[in-house]
Amino acid sequence: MSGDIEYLDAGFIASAEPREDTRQAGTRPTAGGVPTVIRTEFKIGRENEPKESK
Amino acid sequence: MNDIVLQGIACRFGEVIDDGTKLLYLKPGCLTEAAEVKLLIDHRGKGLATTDDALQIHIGEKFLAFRYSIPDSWSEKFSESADDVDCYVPVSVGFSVDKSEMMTIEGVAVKVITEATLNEISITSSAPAVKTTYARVMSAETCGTLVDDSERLELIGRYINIHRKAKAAENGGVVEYAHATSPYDRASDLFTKALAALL
Repeated sequence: MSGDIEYLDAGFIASAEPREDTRQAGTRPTAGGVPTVIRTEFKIGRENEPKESK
Repeated sequence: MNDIVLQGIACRFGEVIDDGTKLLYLKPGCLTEAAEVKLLIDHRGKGLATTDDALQIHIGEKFLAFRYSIPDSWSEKFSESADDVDCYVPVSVGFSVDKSEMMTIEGVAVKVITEATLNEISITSSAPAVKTTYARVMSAETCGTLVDDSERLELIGRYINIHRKAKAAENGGVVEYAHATSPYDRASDLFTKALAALL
């Protein structure tokens, strides 16, 4: 509907109190009940190389 | 230019979004900015900045990128280590719908938004509906213009989503949308750099 305000939060209802998100977000299937663990080195680095200083 | 910026991806277009209560689809090109777009925390308060001062936004075809120039007075010392602190927080947006239609796909209603006005961008303390949103702090010296950097910001958002899933797999499936390296990790990183400098 035109004029609605939307907030892109999970479980957020416009014009109402935010409710608790009870969904199990991110749950992934496991092989034989053993959780699959992925270890990721979190290194993004800089956006660009630093500019030359003048 | 200020020494430190907070920047990232606040929204994506052309994807079905599940906000927990309904499905939304923001058509590419649907979003235009209000006269003054605010940067808020949890959609409340006076806000950190607006597009009239320290907030820049770039509405692309596929995503909304933003950059907030953090005031110099907040922390000059932090700017030296800003790039070494690998942390991020989730981001959301608030917008008013100007034109939309409901579509039913396989019996499920999807709200297709074709025209909307962006009012605010929020750092959130809860889960975002668009899972690949994020913001992180960077030193301004490593940044180009927001438009030039936006493709990289978008890619980093995708990467952070993988990182969140990987961390969730170690955490019983619970996704944490905010992340910060521990003091031990940072100290270890500095030590590794110091060793590398000796070689």
